Amino acid sequence: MSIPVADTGPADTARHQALLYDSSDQLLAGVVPYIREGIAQGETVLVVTSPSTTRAIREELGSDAENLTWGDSGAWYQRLGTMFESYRAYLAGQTARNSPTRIAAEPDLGGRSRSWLREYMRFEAAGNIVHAPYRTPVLCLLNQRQVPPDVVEDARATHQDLLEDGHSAPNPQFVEPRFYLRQGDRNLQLDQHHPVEFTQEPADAHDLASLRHQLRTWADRHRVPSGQAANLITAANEIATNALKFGLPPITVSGWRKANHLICECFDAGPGLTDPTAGYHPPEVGQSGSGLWVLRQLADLVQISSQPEGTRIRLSFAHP
Amino acid sequence: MLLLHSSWSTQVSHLAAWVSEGLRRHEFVAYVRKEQADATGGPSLTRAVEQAVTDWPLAIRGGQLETWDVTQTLSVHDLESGQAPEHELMSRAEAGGYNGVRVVMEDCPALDVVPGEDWWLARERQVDQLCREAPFSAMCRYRNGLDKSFLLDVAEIHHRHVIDSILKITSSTEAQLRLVGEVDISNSAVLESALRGVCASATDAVRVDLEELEFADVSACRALARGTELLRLRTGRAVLSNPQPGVEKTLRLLRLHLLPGVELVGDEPL
Repeated sequence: MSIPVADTGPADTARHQALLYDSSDQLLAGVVPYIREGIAQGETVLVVTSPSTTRAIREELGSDAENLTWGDSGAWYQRLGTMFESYRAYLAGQTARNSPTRIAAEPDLGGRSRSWLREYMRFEAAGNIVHAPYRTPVLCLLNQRQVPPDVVEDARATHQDLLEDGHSAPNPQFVEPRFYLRQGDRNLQLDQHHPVEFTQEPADAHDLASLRHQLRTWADRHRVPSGQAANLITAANEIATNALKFGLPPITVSGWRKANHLICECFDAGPGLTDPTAGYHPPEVGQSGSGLWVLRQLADLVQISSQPEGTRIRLSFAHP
Repeated sequence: MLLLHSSWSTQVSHLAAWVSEGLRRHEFVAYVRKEQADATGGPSLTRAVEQAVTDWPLAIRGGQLETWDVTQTLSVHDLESGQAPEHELMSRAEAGGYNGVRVVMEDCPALDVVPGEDWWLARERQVDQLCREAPFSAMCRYRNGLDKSFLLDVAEIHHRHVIDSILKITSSTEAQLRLVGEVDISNSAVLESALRGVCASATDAVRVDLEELEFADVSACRALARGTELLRLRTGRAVLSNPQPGVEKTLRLLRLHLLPGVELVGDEPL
C-alpha cells in the first residue's frame, strides 16, 4: 500500500521537528544552537528534559540557562493525555500573552512498553494538528538507542522536519497525521488471550449503573485508591457510553490485571471512529468527542483497534 | 413529584412510601389507578402498593384513602368550566378535617381518555401551581417508552421533585436543586429539563447541590451547562456546590467551571 507523504508546508511557519540522536554529543550539537537561537530572538524557551540532559544543557549554556523555563520530563510524561494537554495549555497561554515561544522536549522513553511507545507516537502525530494553531516551534529530542527500530520509523513519520548535523530540513518520510492515526487504529492488534476478571454486556443506557457497580467492586478487590478508582470508573463508563451511542451491539466490557496494570476494555461490533483526531482536542462543553478526550486524561494508556469484526478500546491504569 | 424509569419493586416502594406518608400526616389520599382490574392478568401495581401499605384497609374504611379510576377523575372534570377534580378533593379534605390532599397518579398520562399531550401538560402545570399554593401534593408515575420530548416537558414541570432509578432531584427553595445518586446518559436529559425548569423562574443565582451526587459522566456535565444556559445568558449564575472529588474532577476536565456564569464552590458558605 502506498502511504501518502504529506506536504510538509512552507518552511517559514512554526515547525514540529525531531532530533534523532545516538550520543550525548549529537544531542547537544543539535539542541544547544536551537535554544540559543530562541534566546537571541527574545523568545521564551521551554525545555522539558531528563535530569541528565538538563545538567548537560546547563553546562553548555552557562548563565544563559537561567533565562530558560525548565520542566522535568519524568513529571511531564507520566500520562500521555495529560502531557499532551499540558503542552497545549502552555502554548495557548503563551499565545494569549503574545509571547513568542519555542519548546525543546525530551520524552521519558526509558523502560516503556511497546504499546506506550506506539501511543506516544500517535500523540506526536496529533500534535501536528492540535498544536499547529499556536505556531510555536517544537523540537523533540528522541534517543534512538532507547527504542526499537519501528518506533524510530514512527518518529520519522510523525515529525515535519528532521534536525540533522545542525541543519533542519523537511522530512520526506512525514505522513499526513490523520492518515497516520487512522492506519494505527486499523493495524493495531490487541492480544485477546488473558484471564478476564469481570465481563458485562450493556444492552442499553440503563445497564450502565450496574456496570459502574461492577467496576467499583473490581477496583475494591484490587485495593485501588479512591481517586484512581474514580478515574477508572469514569473512563470505563465513557467507553461503554461511546459504544452504546456510536457502536453496534453486542457490546462487551471486561477487565483484567496484567503485570502492574489494570486493564479495562470495551468491544463493540461497529467500525470505529470516523474522525481519527477525536479525543485529542480539548472539547467545548457540549461538543461530541468529549468522552474520548476525558478518558485520555484519566487513563494512563488508551488504545483503539478497529478491525473488520469490530472496535476495541482498551484502557490501562498503572496499579503497582 | 415525578416518578420515572425504575424497577417494579422500586416503583412499588416509592408509591407505598408516598401513600403511607400522607396517611401519617393525616392528609386525604386519592390513589388514581389506571383501570379497574389488570386486563393482562399480570401483577397489578395497585395491588402491590396496597399490600405494601400497612394501614391501607384501615384508611379505606375510615375514609382517609380512596381509590379512583382515571375515567372517574375525568367525569369530575368539566372541560368547559375548567372545574378540575383536585378542587373537589380539596373541598372534601377540608370538610373531613384533613391537613391536605395527596394524590397518586399511578399511570400517567392517561392519553387514551384525555384530549392530548398539550392538554395533559397544561393540566400538569395547573397541578404544579396548586402544589405550590395549597396543601396539595401529587406523585405522578410515568412509564418507560413514552415520547422523549414529551417526557422532558414533564420533567421540566416537575423539576422540584423527580425520582429516577438512579437519581433523585429535589428542591427545597425556589432557586435550588439537590441531586442525589448518579447521572449518566440514561437520565442526563431529565436533569437538563429539571434545570431548565428551575432556571426559568430564577432571577439571579440557581444553586445545584452536588454533595450527594456519587457519579457524573460527560453527558451530566453537558446537562449542567445546557440546562443553565438561558439563565446564564441573562447574567444569572449557576452555582455548583460541594461536588465529590470524582465528580469535581470530571467537571473541571470538561472546564465547566470556566463557562461564563458558572461557579464551582466547595464547602465554604455562600
